Amino acid sequence: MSETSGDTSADPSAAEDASLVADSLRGYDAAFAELVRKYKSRVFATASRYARDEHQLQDLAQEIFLRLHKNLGKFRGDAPFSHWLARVAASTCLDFLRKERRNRETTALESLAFELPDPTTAAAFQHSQACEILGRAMASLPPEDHWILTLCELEERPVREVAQITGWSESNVKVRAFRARQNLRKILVSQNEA
Amino acid sequence: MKPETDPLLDSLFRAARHADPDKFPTPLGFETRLMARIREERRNAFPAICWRLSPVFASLLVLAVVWLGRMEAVEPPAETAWFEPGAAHEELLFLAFPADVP
Repeated sequence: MSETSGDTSADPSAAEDASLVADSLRGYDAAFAELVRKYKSRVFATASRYARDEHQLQDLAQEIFLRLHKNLGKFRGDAPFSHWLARVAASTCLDFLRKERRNRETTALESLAFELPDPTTAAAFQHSQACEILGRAMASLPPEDHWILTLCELEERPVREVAQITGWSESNVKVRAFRARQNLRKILVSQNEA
Repeated sequence: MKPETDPLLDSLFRAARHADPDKFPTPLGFETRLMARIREERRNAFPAICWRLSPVFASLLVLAVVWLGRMEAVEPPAETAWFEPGAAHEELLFLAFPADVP
């Protein structure tokens, strides 16, 4: 889901998507299966930013496509299908984070403890190490903070696109992202000290 | 999108950004399972709607029962008493029979 803009009339892929959506709405399951085949790698990439294991990832990806199927009639076709899919995926992921938060209310804080390497001495974090540290720290953030940081920092989406996805104003996105970064930093420092 | 610079956060995000594409491979038969679930949900759609509407149906039923009960309470009891056999109405019963009855 890396596209930030697109012209549906010039893009043959967009026309193909619109045709597949129309066929799906007419009840052709094969057309929707084709959409799933086409976009499943993107959906899995997005879901992997939120899911903690493979089982959760599959459930979340399936939930995204189910919600997509249920709301297919709301796709107006004035923007590329991939943008609309990104919005559906993002809102499903936020709901997933909220549900996860409720389920993990009783998680002991000790289990979130980790050790941070010094960023000034270590040239760069290893990818797996960074994912683990961020995953644990972001799990203790409020769902909206986790969501906005994933969209802005990990997926590097422009503020305008994040505003479209979240339905917040651009200034609200900036303020929330700023606060979420501050909260994340507090968690990282406090857990490191503990 | 950098509202502030923080070496710790920036280096963490930079490292985590480049996800390993093979970390979570798309499982085999994902579409098949998904389409099966969609078909199943479609089959269960009508009973699910009925179940969701059951409180509405129950409320309507209760209202109907209450309304019927009130209607019965308002009905005048005199009409039934008119035809009841009893000492006070013996002459009326007698007049009600035709004369040629054996």
